[in-house]
Amino acid sequence: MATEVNEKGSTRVVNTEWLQMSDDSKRSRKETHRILENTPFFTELPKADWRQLETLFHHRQFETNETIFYEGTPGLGMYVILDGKVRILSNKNGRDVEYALLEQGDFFGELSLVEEEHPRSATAVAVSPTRLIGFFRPQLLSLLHTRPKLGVVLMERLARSIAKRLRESNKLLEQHERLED
Amino acid sequence: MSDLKTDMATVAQQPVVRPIWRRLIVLLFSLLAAYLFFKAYNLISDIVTAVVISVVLTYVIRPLMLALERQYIPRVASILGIFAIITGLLILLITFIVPILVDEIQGLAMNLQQIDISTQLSKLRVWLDSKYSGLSTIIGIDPELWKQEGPTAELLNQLKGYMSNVLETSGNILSGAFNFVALAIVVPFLTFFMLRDGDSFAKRIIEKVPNRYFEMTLSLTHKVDNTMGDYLRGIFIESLIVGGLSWIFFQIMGLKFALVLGVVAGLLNMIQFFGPMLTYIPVLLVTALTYQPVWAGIFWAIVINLSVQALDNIVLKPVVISRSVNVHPVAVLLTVLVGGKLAGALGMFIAVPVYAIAHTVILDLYSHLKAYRVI
Repeated sequence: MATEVNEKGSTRVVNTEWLQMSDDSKRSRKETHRILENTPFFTELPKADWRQLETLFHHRQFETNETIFYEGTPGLGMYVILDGKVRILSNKNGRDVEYALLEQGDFFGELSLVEEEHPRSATAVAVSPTRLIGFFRPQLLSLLHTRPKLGVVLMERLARSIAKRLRESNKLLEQHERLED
Repeated sequence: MSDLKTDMATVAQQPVVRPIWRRLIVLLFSLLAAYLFFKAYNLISDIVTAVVISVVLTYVIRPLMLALERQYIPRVASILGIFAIITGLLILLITFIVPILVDEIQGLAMNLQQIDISTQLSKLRVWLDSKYSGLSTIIGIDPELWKQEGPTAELLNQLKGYMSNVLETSGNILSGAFNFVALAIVVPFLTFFMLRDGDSFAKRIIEKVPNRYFEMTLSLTHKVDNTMGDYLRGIFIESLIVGGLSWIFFQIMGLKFALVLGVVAGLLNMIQFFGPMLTYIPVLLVTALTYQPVWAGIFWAIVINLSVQALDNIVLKPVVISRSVNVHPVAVLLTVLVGGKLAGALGMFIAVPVYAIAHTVILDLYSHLKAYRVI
């Protein structure tokens, strides 16, 4: 608690802890907004859609070396990294192969938004203390009912993202074939 | 990295462990929960009733609320708008239909007390004897017993007394329902908050779940929510159609107390398996006591009931119920019996959805625990 004196000289008691929490929450929301704005999924969305989306996001925190999900387990949705780093691994012939090291603003697991409980194609592990935003299939489906326009926009962006990954995979495959020849 | 590798390899090699003690503990806990519920039910029955009605209303109103939200109408405004429409409909119902319903029920109760069943029965027997002299032999009843009035008439008189009591009680409940302040205040209050904050409340609870179980819990709650929503909305619409059709057909037939019988048919339809069978008792009793000629009345009442139930089983149930709850008929029968024993009519109504949810949770929980590598 603290006492605040205004211009007229009258005083009022202010709960500084509450104000601090409120400020943190606002800052956190702004920060989340800024990071998600830079992802191809949630960029350039109207304010009303943002407010709707915020109610659907799940905030998760992971410790260093904590597994976010395992390869082969049913996938439910995608994650965006707000803070920290995530390693994407796959087990090939009993050996862990690192596919990618993701950082703030990167996203992963989006294939699970398309297919219901499709097995995860890789394992995701937090490399440092990590904060994530989770967006899951049940929420996407509910969005398609409540805000069809926004749902379709997100589905289109999801399709684009998958197409982009497919093109990249094809390029890698071609390079690999050329090297073998 | 190597830890993860070892962890994954160990999990992959783990055999499926299903120790019997774990099953016994689950069974014991289920029995204990059922026993405690049974013991505490009398103390909390009013609260349970209010919560059950609110949950049903929430699931029925929710799609309307979402449809309004789709038009960018704020949630609170949507809920208040729907509440206003429901209040309007209730006022219309209280003004026009409830008085008729209460009169019909009380009239029917008085009719039942005044009518001498044995006289009606004798008339029916004389008529049957004149038309089909060997009927008693065909249906396998001793001709001497057939001629005796005592046992059958006594049984029917008992049934008459029972029906009269039931109808008087329901008449009192209906006429006094809107004075039941607690229910009238608590149900809209609970429903409003379940509709407004249900999603965020569920989200806040799920966010407390540890990371290891998080996706599994989210998936399970989504499935339970879908099962429950589909079932409750389905049964509500189904009962409304069954009740409405029964009323229309009884009215066309010219049966007295058609509205009461329609409402009874609709309400009983909410009880799986037994409900449609129980409908025959009030319908046939009212027909036998008030319709002339009796045989034609009974014939048409049975035809109407059978037709409505056929329509329900062939068209409505597959569309509105089966897709939400896939429960074996024997399980439905036992569940409804147990529900009735534990919590009366309300227990019979909630037995099937509760069983379906428990079924989904237990089966899916086990497969999810395995799939998410928790066990």
